[in-house]
Amino acid sequence: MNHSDDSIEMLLRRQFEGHVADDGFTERVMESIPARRRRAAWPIWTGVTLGIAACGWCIADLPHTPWRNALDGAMSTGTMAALFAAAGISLLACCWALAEADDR
Amino acid sequence: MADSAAEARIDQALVARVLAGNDRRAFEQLLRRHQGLVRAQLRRLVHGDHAAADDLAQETFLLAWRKLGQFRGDARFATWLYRIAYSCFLQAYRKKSWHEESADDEIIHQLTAPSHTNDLHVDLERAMQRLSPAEQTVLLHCVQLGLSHEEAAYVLTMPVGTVKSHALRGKAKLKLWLAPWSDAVNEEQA
Repeated sequence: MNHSDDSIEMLLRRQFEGHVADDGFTERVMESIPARRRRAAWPIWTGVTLGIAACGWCIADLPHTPWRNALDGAMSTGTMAALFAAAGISLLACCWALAEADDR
Repeated sequence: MADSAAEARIDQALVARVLAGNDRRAFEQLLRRHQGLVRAQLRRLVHGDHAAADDLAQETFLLAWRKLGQFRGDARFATWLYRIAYSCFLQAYRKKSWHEESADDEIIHQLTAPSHTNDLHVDLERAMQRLSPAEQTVLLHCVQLGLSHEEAAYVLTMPVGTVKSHALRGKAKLKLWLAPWSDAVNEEQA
């Protein structure tokens, strides 16, 4: 940064009005802010639990489901496909979480 | 530097109090600490329309209250607020152009203040108006509000390289246009 850059910056800083006096602004804003509502976590967890229970109930009695084959040690095509699908979904979820973290 | 670190710790503590206990008084303290510069930022962005700037500032703090849980502390709290304020300004800007008003203001200045034509600060204001909106905005944040290039890039959602080039170009233009004032500028600096 050279001398004339310093001069221009000094002029710009002097020209800037800077901090504005409150003059009742804070009170006006505080009167208008709504009460913060805490979002309850129980509906989400109830939904997740019910969803898992429903899935388990649906597939528990099916004799040839991929997961049952996997439990029996038989790696059928269906089992492999289910594992790849689960791995793919997990990978996508990780990428999404990383992208969200970057945005913040 | 130590002062700004201490200020940042106070802000973090106040944010934690608001989030932990829904503490409106802690938010009021945050508001008192930062309203002055957020309103100053918006006044410059809307070319001195104080009422519009205050409406946008109110909207900024309402959004900050609603989204406080998203403040992670990666940036300074003030920088986070400047970013919200700039985003509110951009949304309003799409509906209403302050540039048209600033052109009218220019004519009014010429008509009503011929005796001030020799005033360096009037010329500086006019020179600022001649800069591109991006150059004006970058100089406001980097020079007048004292943000680093990285912080300005965060506020303006621009790459850091773009911020640096707008700042350099803006200052070069001002230097050129205000060249006849170089003696007076040096006297002021002394």
